[in-house]
Amino acid sequence: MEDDSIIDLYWQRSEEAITATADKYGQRLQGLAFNITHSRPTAEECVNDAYHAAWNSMPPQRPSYLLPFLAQITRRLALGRLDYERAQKRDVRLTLVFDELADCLPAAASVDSQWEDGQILAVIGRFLRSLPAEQRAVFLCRYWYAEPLADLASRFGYSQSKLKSLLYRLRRQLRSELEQEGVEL
Amino acid sequence: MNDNSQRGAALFALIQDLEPDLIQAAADFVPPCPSVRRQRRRGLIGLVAGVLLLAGACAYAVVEWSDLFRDHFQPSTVVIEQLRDSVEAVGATAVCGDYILTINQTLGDSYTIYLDLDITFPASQPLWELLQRDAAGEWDLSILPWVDFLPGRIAYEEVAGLNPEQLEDFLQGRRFGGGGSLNIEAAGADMETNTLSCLISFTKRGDSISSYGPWLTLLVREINDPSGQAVAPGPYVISWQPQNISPQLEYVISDSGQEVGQVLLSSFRLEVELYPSEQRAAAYAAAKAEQGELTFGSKPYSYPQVSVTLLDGSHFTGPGSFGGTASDDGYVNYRLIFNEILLLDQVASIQVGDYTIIVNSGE
Repeated sequence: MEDDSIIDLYWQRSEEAITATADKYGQRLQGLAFNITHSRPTAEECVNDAYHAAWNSMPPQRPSYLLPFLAQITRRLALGRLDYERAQKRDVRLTLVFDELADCLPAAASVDSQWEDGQILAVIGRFLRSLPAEQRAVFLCRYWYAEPLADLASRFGYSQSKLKSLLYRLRRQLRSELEQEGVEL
Repeated sequence: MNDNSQRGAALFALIQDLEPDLIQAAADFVPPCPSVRRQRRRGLIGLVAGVLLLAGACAYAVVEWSDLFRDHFQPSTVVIEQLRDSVEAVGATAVCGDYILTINQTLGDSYTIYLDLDITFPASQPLWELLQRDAAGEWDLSILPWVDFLPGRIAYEEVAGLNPEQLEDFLQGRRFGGGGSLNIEAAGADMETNTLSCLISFTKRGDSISSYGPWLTLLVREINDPSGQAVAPGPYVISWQPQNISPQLEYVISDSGQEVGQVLLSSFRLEVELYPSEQRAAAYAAAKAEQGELTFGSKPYSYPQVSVTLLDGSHFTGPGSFGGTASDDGYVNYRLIFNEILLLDQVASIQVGDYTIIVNSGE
């Protein structure tokens, strides 16, 4: 079913909206929530809560992109459920993502911080748009969708070494962009 | 969670609100099938042999290299034949107010491009008034364009009259990621046509020029005299679709079954990438403990000994400039841009530190 038709179902207050959403995007949203929480039951709860939030948001909202709309809700809920201390001790996968992302940040001592989140997002958005499509997808799959390195390497046909190297280069490039803009987080 | 992880977690949360089309595009992206990638790698290596066989077997039409390229590269007949797909007679012209940019020819591949560029000045600004003669009576070609290479297509009307600050705003988000190496030289001046000839080269770092799409733009910000004063205020632009193709050899460096790096070799450049490793990070830590603060050149893995050996046993002497990065965890990116053209069928081996890559046994 096309996204517009699914959104129409929400606007018509038809419960088929949830079924259609789950059929089309359920697996992908479950994957995203699991990549963050590393718990199947928690991931399922996050996705169910996301459907509920979507039901309450449409109407009045009518998103231009349905998957990102749902994924942003799911990601926010999953992050809210994340036990950071447990993640640090038991689930190194997501802390690896965090540690890698920290590479992108300029040293705090070398910049002054007067930046709003929106301004930093704009710099990151411009950086991503300057990349070739494949590199942009790799970066976002790793750092937005939190996909494990092994899965990502397999899907893109890279060796893990090559993937790590590419991600490393991209983080360095982003860091350079942020430094040029004087950004601190 | 440690400070580093917390900073990363904060960024992970912040990018939550990236624009939805970016998130959608990442989800929709379908990578090329892995098996196609592997076939392509073999295909590239095979292409060299294919080109060489054709060169020996039949005569075909080749673009006659421009005088500027001939003067600079002094190509032999074999070079001209083997690089017949690397040279393109572009003939693109852009009228930018009173100035005219003409790209006569380009030479290169998807990472490196040389431009034979003419800049025609308006009659009201005769070149003989801008240039001095040296003691031998030759024109001192001391005015140079300040240029950038950009992906995509830009029309002159989009940049005409922009001051430097406005131009910077315009260029936001339009540049290549990762940058590249640029070289500019004025190569001649024709007083009758009031035209300055320039040889400009650009080598993209990391990914290829072509991965950004079919169009490439040369932006001339301004043209300066030796004191840095603008003799032509700019900006001027010319966009075209480069078609230059050259075989490239790709090799994976393995150590004890682990992929530790890669080498890319073309007729124009050699790029070596060594991936981060615990071994090199440990070597760095040991050197630092012994020597104190390390500069780029003193890092134990900064400059792997890199050389290209030809079939006659000699070393290729063409490398003209190098650049690269090396970080504390052992990541090395090392790039040589040749000032001579390397014939790939003449390469016997590539040495990268302790690793030897056999390219051609000569049999």
